[in-house]
This record gives sequence, C-alpha cells and structure tokens, in this order.
Amino acid sequence: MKRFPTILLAFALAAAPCWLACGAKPRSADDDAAPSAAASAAPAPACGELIFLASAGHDAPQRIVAMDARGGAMRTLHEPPEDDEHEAGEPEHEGGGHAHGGGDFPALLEPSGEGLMILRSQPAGTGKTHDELLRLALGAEGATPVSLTAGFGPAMIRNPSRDPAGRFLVFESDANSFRDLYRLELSSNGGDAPSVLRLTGDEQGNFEPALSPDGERVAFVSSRDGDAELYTMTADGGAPTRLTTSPGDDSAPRWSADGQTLAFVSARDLDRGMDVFVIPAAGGEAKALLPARDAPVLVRDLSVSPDGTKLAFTELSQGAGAAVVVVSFPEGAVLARSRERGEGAGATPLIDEQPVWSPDGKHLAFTRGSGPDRSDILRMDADGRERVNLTMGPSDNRGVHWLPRWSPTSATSSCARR
Amino acid sequence: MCRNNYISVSALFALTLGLLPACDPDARDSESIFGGDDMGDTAGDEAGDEGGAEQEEEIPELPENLSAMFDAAADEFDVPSGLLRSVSLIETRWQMVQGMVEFEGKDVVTGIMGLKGLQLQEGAELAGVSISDATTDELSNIRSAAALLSAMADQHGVADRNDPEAWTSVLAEYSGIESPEGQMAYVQDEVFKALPQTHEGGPFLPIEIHSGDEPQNHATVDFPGAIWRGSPNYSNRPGGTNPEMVIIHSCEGSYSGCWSWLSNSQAGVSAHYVINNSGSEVSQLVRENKKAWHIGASYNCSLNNSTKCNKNGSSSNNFTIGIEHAGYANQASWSNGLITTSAELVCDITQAWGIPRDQYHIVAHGTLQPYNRIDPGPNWPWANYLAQINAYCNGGQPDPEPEPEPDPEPEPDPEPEPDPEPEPEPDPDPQPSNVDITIDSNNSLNGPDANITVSGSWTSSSGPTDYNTGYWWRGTGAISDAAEFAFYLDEAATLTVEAWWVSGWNRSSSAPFLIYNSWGTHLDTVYADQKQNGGQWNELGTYEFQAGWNTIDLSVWAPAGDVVIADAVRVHTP
Repeated sequence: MKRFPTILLAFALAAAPCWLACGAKPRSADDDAAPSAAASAAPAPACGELIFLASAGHDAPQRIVAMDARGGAMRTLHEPPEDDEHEAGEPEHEGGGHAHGGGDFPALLEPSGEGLMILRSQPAGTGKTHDELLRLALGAEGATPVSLTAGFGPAMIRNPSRDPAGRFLVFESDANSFRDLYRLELSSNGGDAPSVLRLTGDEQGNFEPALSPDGERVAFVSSRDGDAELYTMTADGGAPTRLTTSPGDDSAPRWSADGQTLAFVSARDLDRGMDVFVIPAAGGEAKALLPARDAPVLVRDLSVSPDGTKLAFTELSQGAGAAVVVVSFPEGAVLARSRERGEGAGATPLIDEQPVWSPDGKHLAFTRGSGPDRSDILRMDADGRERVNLTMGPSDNRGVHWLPRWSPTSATSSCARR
Repeated sequence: MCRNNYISVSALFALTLGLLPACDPDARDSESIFGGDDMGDTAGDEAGDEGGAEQEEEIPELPENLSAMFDAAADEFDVPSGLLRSVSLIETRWQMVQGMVEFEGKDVVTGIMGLKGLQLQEGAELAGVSISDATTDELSNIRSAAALLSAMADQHGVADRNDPEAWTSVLAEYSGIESPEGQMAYVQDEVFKALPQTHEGGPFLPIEIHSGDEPQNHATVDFPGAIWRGSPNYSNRPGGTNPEMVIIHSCEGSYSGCWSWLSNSQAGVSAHYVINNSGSEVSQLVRENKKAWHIGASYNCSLNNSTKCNKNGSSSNNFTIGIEHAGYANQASWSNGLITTSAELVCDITQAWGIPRDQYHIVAHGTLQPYNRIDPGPNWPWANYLAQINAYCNGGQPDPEPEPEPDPEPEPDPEPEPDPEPEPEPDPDPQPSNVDITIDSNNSLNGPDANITVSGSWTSSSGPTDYNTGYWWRGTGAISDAAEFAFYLDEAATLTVEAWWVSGWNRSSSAPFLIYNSWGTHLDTVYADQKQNGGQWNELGTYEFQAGWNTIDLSVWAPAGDVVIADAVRVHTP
C-alpha cells in the first residue's frame, strides 16, 4: 500500500449515511440553473446544499463552506478559531496532508440539515489527538458551535455514528484504553444521567461503530478474539455477538436500510485485496458482493443509498488511482463509476473518494484529488451519466475541497429553502 | 332489662331501636352496653335520651400533616377533601395499613385510603407514583385514591363534584362491595355519615341519611342492639355441641364490606358478629347456637396451650363463635370504642354459654390458623381487652379465679358426627396454590397482577437475548431512581425471585435488587453481576411475600459509570 491516499485517512470520519429519506423533493422545474448535461431524459435536478471543507492549499487555513448542490459560490459556515496550537502542530503525516494535524472537520450532518456535527482535533503528541465534537446550528447566521463532549477526555474521538432518531451518537475513543466504544446522549433524558457511557472494554480494542437504521444495534469491529472481526451488540452495550471468523481483518460495517444485512470490507481473500463483503446481520455466511477484479483492490468509504438499494464505495486500484463505484445492493451489479478504469491515469492518478448520497438518493457527491494542492467536489447522477465538477474555478491550480456532506435544505436553492 | 337504648351515631338507628315494640324474648338480659356506663367514650351520658340526639362518634385526631395531604390531593384531582377524609376514616381510621387475606377471593387493602387489589396499581399509575410509594407513603396513597376517584367520577358522569349524592355510584364501586345493600350501607351509613365529622367548612354538606334496608328480624339477635344481617352461610353445630370458645378476627377491610361479604351466599364464609371500626355498630349474621364458617383450620390444641384437646381434628367452627372487627391485622392501633364494644359482646357471649373468660377461650384467629392468618394482629390490646371483658361481667370487679378448666380430661365427645351438609370452608391446606408471575419490562405484556414502573431517565433497548420485547437500562450513580417490578398476591406466599438481564461489558457487577413485601418491609438486597449470565433467569433468593403488591426494585445506586438492566423478574413457588 504505497500510495494510499493518506490525505484523508488521517480522519476517519463517518460517511454520514443518510438512512432517512430526507424529504426534500424538487419543488418545480423552474430551477434557474439547469444541469449541463443534455440527455434525452434530463437528470433530476440536484437539490439541497453541499457542505465541505475548503482551503487554498494543503498548508492554508481551512473553513467549512456550503454550496448549492447545483453549483455556485461558496458560503462560509464556520472558520475555526485562531489557535496557535494548530500552527504549532507536529510535522504533518507522511504523504503530506492538507491539514495541520488539527482543525475543525465536518463529521456528521443531521438528516434534517438543521445541524452539523464538527470534529475538532488538536495534536497531542506521540500520534495522539485531543478531540471534541461540537454542533453547529445551520439555520442561523453566525452561530457558534456548541460542544457536545465537554468533560469527556481529553482523548481522541473517531468514527461517530448517529442514531437515526437523533437521540445519541456512538463513537470510538482512546479515553480510557487503547480503543473502545462510547455512547453520547444528544438529548438530556433526565439531567443526571451521564452524557457519555462506555460500551466496551477490551484491551485489544473496539472500533468503527455503525448504528442500525432503527438505532437499536451497533455493528462494530473488535480484535477481542485475536484479529479484527465484526460484532454486533445493543446500542447500550449488551449481548455482544461475533459475526465473522476469518484470518484477514474485517472492518467498516454498514447496515442495509432494512437492518437485515451488513456490508463490510474484508481482507479475507488475498486475490481480492480488501473488497466488499456482505453478511446477514443476525449471523451467517459472508459473501463477496462483486466478482473478483483483474487485480487486487482496496475498498473503503462504504455508503448505502437512502433507499437502501445501492451501495457506493471508493475502489483503489494499484497504480490506477481510485474511483467511486455504485453497485446495486445487495445484488452487487455495477451501476456507475466516477471514471472508467484508466481514465485520468498517469503520473498522478486521480483519487475519487468520499462518496456521499443526496438525500433523495438520485445523486452522489465525491472528492476528486489530483495532487497535494488540488482536490474538488464533484457531483454525479446515481446512474453515472452526469458528472459536474463544482469547485474547479478559473484560478490557479491550488484549491483543496473535501469531506462533502449533503444537506436536504439550502439557503439559495428554490428546491427546498432552509 | 332490654338493651334498647343503643346509642348509635346514627339518629336513625337510635330511633329505630328505640321504637322497638317489644324486647326480643330470646335476647339475653344484661347490662346496658352502649350507654350510661363508664366503659369508654362510645356513648355519652347526655345521649341516652330516646330519640337519640346526634352522637359524637369517637374520631381519632387528624394530624395536621394528613389534613394538608387530603387538601392537596383534593385540589389536585378535584375530589372533595371531606370525601377523601371520610373514605379514609371508614376504611382505615386514617392509618397506613396493608391488609391481608381474611376471606378468600377478596382483594387485599393497601394504605390509608383502603385501595383494594388492582385499584392500587390503577390509582398509582393515574397519580404517577410507584406502587411501593403508594403502598408506604401516605401522600402517595391519598393521591392514588384521589386520582382513581376522579377518574371514576368522569366515568360515572359526576356532574357536580360538590354534591355528595352525585358520588354515590362512584363510592359504591370504590368500596369493592358487591351487594347493593352493602354498597348502600357503605356509602350512606358510613362514608356520608362521617362527612360532617371530617369535613371542615366548604360547600360539601352532610346529607340526610337514609339507609337502604333497615335491620330485619330484630327478634333474632342474641346480642341486643346488634343489627341482624342474616347470612346463609351457616350450618348446625354437631349434636350436643355448644360454643366453647370465642375467636377474634380482623376483617382486613371496612365494616360494610365485611358484613356484606359474609352475608353473601357466594362467599361461602361467615361469622357470628361484625363490629365497625369505631365500635358504634354491631351486626349479627349467624345465631350463636348455629355454626358460622369463620375459621378454616381444623382444631389443634397444641396451638392453644393444650386447651380442649378432645376437639383435635374437628372443625374449629363446630364449637366456636367468631367475631370480625373492621380493620387490619397490621394497623397500628384499634379504637377504644371498638375494643369496648367487642369486650361487652364477648362478656355477653361467655355469660350465655358459660365460657371461661381467659386467653385460652378467647383466642386469636391467627393462633389457631398460624399457617396463613395472623389476625387480629400484634396490636390487638389483649391485656386491656380481657380486663374489660371481665370488668363488664363482674360489674367492674376483677374476675374471680377462672373456673378450673376440666381439660384435658378426655371427655367422651359424642362426635364425630359428620356434618349434615358439606361445609365450604376456606381451604385448610397450608400449601397455597402454585404461583408463577413474570413481570416484564413491557407493561402491555403484563397481566393484571404484574407491573413495571420506570422513570423517564431509563432508556428502552432491545437485543437478541432480551426477555420478550426489549428492556430498560440506566446509568448507575448515587441517586434513587429504581425500576420497580411489582406483583400482586391474593395471599401470602413464599416465592423464589429470579431476574433476567442482557449482559455486557458495561453492566454493573453489583446491580442492587431490593426485595420488599407488600407491607413495605425490606426483606433483602441482592447484588447481581449483570456483566455475566445474560439471557437467562438468575435466582436472587426465596422470600416470604404478603398478600397485596410486593415489589422488587432494581436500584441504580451503584458505582457510577456502569448501567443496570431492568428486563424481567419472575416470582414462583419454589
């Protein structure tokens, strides 16, 4: 794994699967910005707003911005407070990231679009960070993020997964151990209840929690039995059940919309590399979702569509960069790719990654990286027909845009105003 | 002389009795009991006039804090405060009680308001209090009753809540009494009559008392002044057998509920007499020379200091007279009026039948039936009671040496002659029927005898090893917010308690289960390790529970940072 795109690996932020149909439907055909593609059947208009991280270059200050999903000007939602610690951070990680090893990142978007959870991370030496989750209200101009994890840590916080009903989060942290899972209540349910509840305790570590669509169960990764395997438990930490048994690591579980199936990434088959597999959530046999490719691939960023019928993911091929792939789920038929194999190949292969679904499930946004100082937000139809680069401006070749989130509401669009 | 100067609190009764055309020729002559003597304050001398002026009944002092509680509950639930006070006075004389089983099939009574059986759970739910609070806390019990009465008033369409008459049907239902006569007596002769004494001002005024059925067949009472309320539940004593003992009972309920049940043919039980809780009224249900069905136990003289061992094995009913007293075996005190009236009645009985006036012949029900009865309970003032009996019979002088009891001389009893009719007595079997109750975390799956209460600070969850459909969990900490598993028993029982949880790493290793009986007595605390043994029944212990609502509380008071799991509790006969 030489050129794994480490620029973003530094922050394993959940891909904010939009389990709920976001409910923002195009209001009419009188949208002022018609899509560029002129196909016989015009693609559905893209509604809502994209929220992502923007900076002039990998070493420049970054801010969280919003842009109409059909394109347009960037509007600043949040700029991190001036903090010397950001600048005085330790050397950037290998591969050269945009970030300074710290900063404010868009982590999870509430399905209503009313709030954005921000992960604030500060380097703390020896590879550790001190992190905080904050909520930024999106409705009001000039709102200040409010901390959700005050009193927790200092510790690293990673992979937050949100209860679809909005009651709580589950995340991964090194607060008391190598890595364990915690539950954070988002609404005070009695005042005196601890806002953070530890769910696991294994010195080998527990990782990557994913809450089921009904919010009742957590799928997660644990090395408690020797190597990384998939487990499920109740959302309060009860009745952990092991699902997989394979020598290769299993990771990154994602729930199907009906809660019956889990998609995950597994290294169980060396010929495949790290590929997508599926397994019944109640336990059973794991199966590869796709036919084997010509060469081993490295899959990540699994994201189930809002209606549960499609799965998008990033597929990295040796020497050929990465593409976003959309397949039917759970059948595994390829429906779209962000670029064909070989397209954009060269000395610096394109890295298409971080796919995120529009709330109506008709579009995806993703990040296209083309060098240390250039990455863009692209939008494409779920069937792959229309691909629009939303951030490629006329200026120089510097500009880093990444970690897209898709909100159902927009301050500017006539589709569904905030 | 005839005892026709019975002074009742009810002018009506006084009048009725005063107008009796003739004395009962069968009635035994004896001293006046209800008036004109110094044996208590039941009757004042000034009330001895014919026609009976309204008589002050002995009313216990109502503590200020209780008064405030009645008023607060009355305001909150729009029920007249006077009505709450009156119901409480009639049911319990303003005492916190936990009734026990006295009559099979009758709901047991809980608290100062005398909530019966499932009423407690219903009222507690309406008032938003836990069953254990409604059982042990005066205000919670009053609020539960007020909430229940208010809801019943809605159901019954009580238009003007300040109009006592409008509450008649509500109170009839609240009484738990089945017979119309009993309901009417409860409402009109007891609750309404107590109103002027319990109510302080306001628009809620006493109404004219008009009892339903007047006492019938006065000629048949053995104890003049008693009201005849004949019961069909009696049989003949075995030939040649006369009353030789008096058995003292507590009704475990109100007066009207008691006599009306004992005169109901469906009850299959009876007693010779029932005395109300102030001692102002006595009902006779069975003639003394007949056998009432008031004690289920076969006689065993070893329980009674080897008295009358020749009766061993025969029905205790054969040779005893039973007196029921409105009240509860675990109430804190009995009114002087009740003790005085009962003493006078017993004196009368012993004189009529030549029964020795001592502790071997005037015996508690619980003494002869210790496996499932304790009445009249530990607070019955035995010494004073026996002294008063003797005082009545000896004109205030101490009893001469009790006549030497010929026992245990093996007097050749002509029995056993088989009972002419099968006697449907309470089951004398000390082994109660099997109990198996599961209290689930989901009340919609619970039967009427099971209930869970959790506060809003508990979170619901579900998982593959939960019991039925999900469970509740809550973070531990130094706070009182227990999940309450409650179960209702008709009858005291020794039961094994088991709990079910969904285990996990963050579960408390010392989840405190607090075991309470229906009297609110803390029986035990069991600390369970919920990190282990999830998805199965785990035994907590075996305890003696009482009739009524017993509770198992899962406390959250444990080292912080963990969670405790309230999934299901099961109680069953070992």
